Amino acid sequence: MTARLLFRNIGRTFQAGRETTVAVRGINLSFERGSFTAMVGRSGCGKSTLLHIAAGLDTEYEGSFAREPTTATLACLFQQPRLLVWQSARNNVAFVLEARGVAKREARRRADEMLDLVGLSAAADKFPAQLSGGMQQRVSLARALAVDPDLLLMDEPFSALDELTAARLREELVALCAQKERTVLFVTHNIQEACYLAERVVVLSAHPGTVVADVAVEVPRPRRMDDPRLVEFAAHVRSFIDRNARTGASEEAA
Amino acid sequence: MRSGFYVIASLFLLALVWQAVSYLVGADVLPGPIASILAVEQSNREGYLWSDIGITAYRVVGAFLMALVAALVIGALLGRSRLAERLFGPWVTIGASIPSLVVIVIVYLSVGVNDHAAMIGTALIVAPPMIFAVWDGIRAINPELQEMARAFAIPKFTILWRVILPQTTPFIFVAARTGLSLTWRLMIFVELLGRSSGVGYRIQYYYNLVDMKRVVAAALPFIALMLLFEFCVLRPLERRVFRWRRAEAK
Repeated sequence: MTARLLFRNIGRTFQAGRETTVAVRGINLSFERGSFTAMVGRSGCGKSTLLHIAAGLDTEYEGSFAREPTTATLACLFQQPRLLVWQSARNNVAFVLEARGVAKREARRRADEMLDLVGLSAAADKFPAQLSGGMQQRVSLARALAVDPDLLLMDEPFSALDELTAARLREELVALCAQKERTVLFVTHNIQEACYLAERVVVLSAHPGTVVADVAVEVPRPRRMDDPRLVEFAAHVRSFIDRNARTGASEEAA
Repeated sequence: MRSGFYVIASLFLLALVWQAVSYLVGADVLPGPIASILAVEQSNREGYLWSDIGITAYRVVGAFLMALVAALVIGALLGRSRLAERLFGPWVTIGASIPSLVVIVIVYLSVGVNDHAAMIGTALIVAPPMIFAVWDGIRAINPELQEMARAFAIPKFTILWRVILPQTTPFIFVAARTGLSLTWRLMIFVELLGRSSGVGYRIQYYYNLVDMKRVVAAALPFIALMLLFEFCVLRPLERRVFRWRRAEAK
């Protein structure tokens, strides 16, 4: 069973000393079962904040958030691979399975399967330090897929990689997501990437983060990054951000 | 095979230097390696060699374990609690700067001149640098990994055991290694000041008799024991536990 996410009038403020920052305000969003949504916006628009709330890592928000069903399995992919550097690639993947009660041997077997899926079967015994950044992120992806998540949350997973590696991993992600229906929420500041991957793009404005656009990407798959329709669509999405940035600037000037 | 050769070569060169220095300052002040080893054999025949080592080893291990437990508990507390860090952090720095002799004398006078006092006094002196090492280790814990584990709904205890603790092991290793060698060197003084047995006592005894061969001979077996421990236990253990670090160097 894939998951559904509901954000109803979500707000989140951060307190640092005497300074209060409103990260997001009045967010009303729902993410349907089996949908692939990208959230874009400038840094500071609260897209990571929403992802943290979705992951259950942040509970200090106002409003109501629901994950249906509550028992949905979720997995995360972060900007940094966040691997256990003292464990081999295989054990990094097996770890999350073992922690869920899968027997050691079975966990390792499934870890090998997952590493094979992301094209890393030869590197199963290597430690993270022996792998390139792209390979480390693939281990991280294998770890996320290993738990067979109903909900996959990704926080700029490819932004720390070089463009060639990122492009290849994006293609692989599309292929892996097509294999099984799951709800995906993908946060990025790369508009092109968002339009290429997702079927729906949510644009957030900054300070405080509010939804300024919510558009469906009506470009058929398989897509190509340099497809003129996609490039045009990306420009369309960008216009929302630019428009918002201009009004933001004029407000500041006033 | 090759590294074995270098170990032997290194030891041989050291023996040569030792012999040369002995020659320069006079064999009655610093006896050479062969004379010293013969003196060890003599103390073995007289029957106190093993009992000396045994009693000193007992005190060293006791003091070391006390200091290690203290360092783990206090270091973890200082690393986790901001309040504890502010209130008690400076105490560790102060503790580290109190002269060892003062600590030893006060503990002997308050606890009594016995083995427990010897261990407690040594542990008190050794603990501060070990606390610093553990404290550093706790501070080096990467909160991002915990966040990742929580996002994967991993149980709290598993996070502690498999995500947090492994990050601190390199620091605990440093604490244990420096702590152990400091404990052993300090224990000799503590024995010299207030015990009538052990390696420290034996050194003092022969020093008073100006029998330098026996002084060196008293220390030599324990040095050998410490080296044996370093090369046969610590190093292999370190290599095993920190395989992932050697990978980094490649």
